[in-house]
Amino acid sequence: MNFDSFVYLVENYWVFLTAAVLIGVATGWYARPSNH
Amino acid sequence: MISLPHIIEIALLLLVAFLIGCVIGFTLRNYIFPPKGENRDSAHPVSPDAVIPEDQETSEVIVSPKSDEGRPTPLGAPREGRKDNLKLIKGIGPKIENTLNEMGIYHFDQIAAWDRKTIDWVDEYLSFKGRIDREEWVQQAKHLTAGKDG
Repeated sequence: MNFDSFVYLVENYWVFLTAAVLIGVATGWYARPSNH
Repeated sequence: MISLPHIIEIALLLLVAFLIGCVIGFTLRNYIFPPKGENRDSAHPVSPDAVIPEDQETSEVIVSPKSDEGRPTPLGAPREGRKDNLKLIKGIGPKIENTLNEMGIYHFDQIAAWDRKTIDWVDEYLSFKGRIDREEWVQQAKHLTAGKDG
Protein backbone atom coordinates (compact mmCIF):
# COMPACT_ATOMS: atom_id res chain seq x y z
CA MET A 1 0.00 0.00 0.00
CA ASN A 2 1.80 3.07 -1.24
CA PHE A 3 1.07 6.68 -0.41
CA ASP A 4 -0.88 7.36 -3.61
CA SER A 5 -3.32 4.54 -3.00
CA PHE A 6 -3.69 5.73 0.60
CA VAL A 7 -4.59 9.22 -0.61
CA TYR A 8 -6.99 7.71 -3.12
CA LEU A 9 -8.73 5.71 -0.42
CA VAL A 10 -8.97 8.66 1.94
CA GLU A 11 -10.37 10.87 -0.82
CA ASN A 12 -12.97 8.36 -1.90
CA TYR A 13 -13.91 6.80 1.39
CA TRP A 14 -13.44 9.62 3.86
CA VAL A 15 -17.12 9.35 4.88
CA PHE A 16 -16.66 5.75 5.95
CA LEU A 17 -13.36 6.53 7.62
CA THR A 18 -14.93 9.36 9.57
CA ALA A 19 -17.79 7.08 10.56
CA ALA A 20 -15.29 4.43 11.69
CA VAL A 21 -13.42 6.98 13.79
CA LEU A 22 -16.67 8.19 15.38
CA ILE A 23 -17.81 4.65 16.13
CA GLY A 24 -14.37 4.01 17.62
CA VAL A 25 -14.61 7.12 19.78
CA ALA A 26 -18.02 6.00 21.07
CA THR A 27 -16.71 2.49 21.74
CA GLY A 28 -13.65 3.82 23.55
CA TRP A 29 -15.78 6.26 25.52
CA TYR A 30 -18.08 3.56 26.84
CA ALA A 31 -15.34 0.95 27.22
CA ARG A 32 -14.77 2.09 30.80
CA PRO A 33 -17.60 1.07 33.13
CA SER A 34 -19.53 3.99 34.49
CA ASN A 35 -18.99 5.01 38.10
CA HIS A 36 -22.65 5.70 38.55
CA MET B 1 -15.63 -4.13 -10.02
CA ILE B 2 -13.59 -3.55 -6.91
CA SER B 3 -10.64 -5.90 -6.62
CA LEU B 4 -9.97 -7.99 -3.54
CA PRO B 5 -6.74 -6.21 -2.53
CA HIS B 6 -8.62 -2.95 -2.76
CA ILE B 7 -11.32 -4.24 -0.42
CA ILE B 8 -8.68 -5.48 2.03
CA GLU B 9 -6.99 -2.09 1.96
CA ILE B 10 -10.26 -0.33 2.72
CA ALA B 11 -11.07 -2.78 5.48
CA LEU B 12 -7.65 -2.31 7.05
CA LEU B 13 -7.96 1.44 6.81
CA LEU B 14 -11.39 1.35 8.43
CA LEU B 15 -10.07 -0.91 11.17
CA VAL B 16 -7.18 1.43 11.86
CA ALA B 17 -9.59 4.38 11.90
CA PHE B 18 -11.83 2.51 14.35
CA LEU B 19 -8.92 1.67 16.65
CA ILE B 20 -7.65 5.23 16.58
CA GLY B 21 -11.19 6.32 17.46
CA CYS B 22 -11.25 3.86 20.36
CA VAL B 23 -8.03 5.25 21.77
CA ILE B 24 -9.25 8.83 21.32
CA GLY B 25 -12.61 8.05 22.97
CA PHE B 26 -11.07 6.22 25.90
CA THR B 27 -8.42 8.86 26.50
CA LEU B 28 -10.92 11.66 26.10
CA ARG B 29 -13.29 10.19 28.66
CA ASN B 30 -10.49 9.52 31.16
CA TYR B 31 -9.31 13.07 30.64
CA ILE B 32 -12.75 14.70 30.97
CA PHE B 33 -14.13 12.40 33.67
CA PRO B 34 -11.20 10.99 35.65
CA PRO B 35 -12.10 7.62 37.19
CA LYS B 36 -13.24 7.88 40.80
CA GLY B 37 -11.79 5.74 43.59
CA GLU B 38 -8.75 4.61 41.72
CA ASN B 39 -7.09 3.47 44.90
CA ARG B 40 -9.76 0.92 45.66
CA ASP B 41 -11.86 -1.51 43.67
CA SER B 42 -11.44 0.29 40.39
CA ALA B 43 -10.65 -3.01 38.73
CA HIS B 44 -13.85 -4.57 40.00
CA PRO B 45 -16.40 -1.86 40.43
CA VAL B 46 -19.44 -3.10 42.30
CA SER B 47 -22.50 -1.05 42.89
CA PRO B 48 -23.37 -0.72 46.57
CA ASP B 49 -26.76 -2.14 45.72
CA ALA B 50 -25.39 -5.03 43.74
CA VAL B 51 -27.23 -8.21 44.52
CA ILE B 52 -24.96 -10.95 45.75
CA PRO B 53 -26.50 -14.40 45.84
CA GLU B 54 -27.01 -15.44 49.44
CA ASP B 55 -25.02 -18.61 49.23
CA GLN B 56 -22.23 -17.16 47.18
CA GLU B 57 -19.26 -16.06 49.13
CA THR B 58 -17.26 -13.33 47.54
CA SER B 59 -13.62 -13.01 48.31
CA GLU B 60 -13.19 -10.31 50.86
CA VAL B 61 -10.32 -7.90 50.53
CA ILE B 62 -8.93 -6.81 53.82
CA VAL B 63 -8.15 -3.13 53.95
CA SER B 64 -7.04 -1.10 56.90
CA PRO B 65 -9.75 1.29 58.05
CA LYS B 66 -8.56 4.76 58.87
CA SER B 67 -9.09 4.32 62.61
CA ASP B 68 -9.84 1.66 65.16
CA GLU B 69 -13.03 3.45 66.16
CA GLY B 70 -15.79 0.89 65.88
CA ARG B 71 -13.46 -2.09 65.77
CA PRO B 72 -15.26 -5.04 67.37
CA THR B 73 -13.82 -6.19 70.67
CA PRO B 74 -12.02 -9.43 69.92
CA LEU B 75 -12.11 -12.53 72.07
CA GLY B 76 -8.79 -14.29 72.56
CA ALA B 77 -10.47 -17.65 72.14
CA PRO B 78 -13.99 -19.03 71.90
CA ARG B 79 -15.84 -19.11 75.23
CA GLU B 80 -15.71 -22.57 76.78
CA GLY B 81 -13.59 -23.56 73.83
CA ARG B 82 -16.64 -23.82 71.61
CA LYS B 83 -17.29 -21.35 68.87
CA ASP B 84 -20.65 -20.82 67.22
CA ASN B 85 -21.21 -21.94 63.66
CA LEU B 86 -21.21 -18.47 62.11
CA LYS B 87 -22.04 -20.04 58.75
CA LEU B 88 -25.63 -20.26 59.98
CA ILE B 89 -25.81 -16.56 59.21
CA LYS B 90 -26.85 -16.27 55.59
CA GLY B 91 -24.05 -14.58 53.70
CA ILE B 92 -21.27 -16.01 55.83
CA GLY B 93 -19.38 -18.91 54.34
CA PRO B 94 -16.32 -20.81 55.51
CA LYS B 95 -13.93 -18.18 54.27
CA ILE B 96 -15.63 -15.25 55.97
CA GLU B 97 -16.12 -17.32 59.10
CA ASN B 98 -12.38 -17.92 59.23
CA THR B 99 -11.69 -14.24 58.75
CA LEU B 100 -14.11 -13.35 61.54
CA ASN B 101 -12.51 -15.96 63.79
CA GLU B 102 -9.13 -14.43 63.07
CA MET B 103 -10.62 -11.10 64.14
CA GLY B 104 -11.62 -12.70 67.46
CA ILE B 105 -15.27 -13.07 66.57
CA TYR B 106 -16.56 -16.53 67.43
CA HIS B 107 -20.11 -16.08 68.71
CA PHE B 108 -23.47 -14.89 67.42
CA ASP B 109 -23.90 -12.55 70.38
CA GLN B 110 -20.69 -10.75 69.41
CA ILE B 111 -22.17 -9.96 65.99
CA ALA B 112 -25.58 -9.24 67.52
CA ALA B 113 -23.93 -6.57 69.66
CA TRP B 114 -22.46 -4.68 66.72
CA ASP B 115 -23.57 -1.07 66.57
CA ARG B 116 -23.53 1.24 63.56
CA LYS B 117 -19.85 2.14 63.97
CA THR B 118 -18.81 -1.48 64.30
CA ILE B 119 -20.82 -2.52 61.24
CA ASP B 120 -19.22 0.27 59.25
CA TRP B 121 -15.77 -0.66 60.52
CA VAL B 122 -16.10 -4.35 59.64
CA ASP B 123 -17.72 -3.45 56.33
CA GLU B 124 -14.77 -1.27 55.45
CA TYR B 125 -12.23 -3.76 56.83
CA LEU B 126 -13.58 -6.57 54.69
CA SER B 127 -14.52 -4.36 51.72
CA PHE B 128 -18.08 -5.63 51.86
CA LYS B 129 -19.69 -2.48 50.47
CA GLY B 130 -22.75 -2.61 52.66
CA ARG B 131 -23.20 -6.36 52.55
CA ILE B 132 -23.53 -6.70 56.33
CA ASP B 133 -26.56 -4.43 56.23
CA ARG B 134 -28.02 -5.99 53.10
CA GLU B 135 -27.79 -9.48 54.48
CA GLU B 136 -28.84 -8.32 57.93
CA TRP B 137 -26.10 -10.15 59.78
CA VAL B 138 -26.86 -8.39 63.05
CA GLN B 139 -30.57 -9.25 62.94
CA GLN B 140 -29.76 -12.82 61.96
CA ALA B 141 -27.22 -13.04 64.77
CA LYS B 142 -29.81 -11.71 67.24
CA HIS B 143 -32.28 -14.40 66.16
CA LEU B 144 -29.62 -17.07 66.40
CA THR B 145 -28.52 -15.82 69.82
CA ALA B 146 -32.13 -15.87 71.02
CA GLY B 147 -32.59 -19.34 69.56
CA LYS B 148 -29.44 -20.56 71.25
CA ASP B 149 -30.44 -19.13 74.62
CA GLY B 150 -34.04 -20.19 74.43
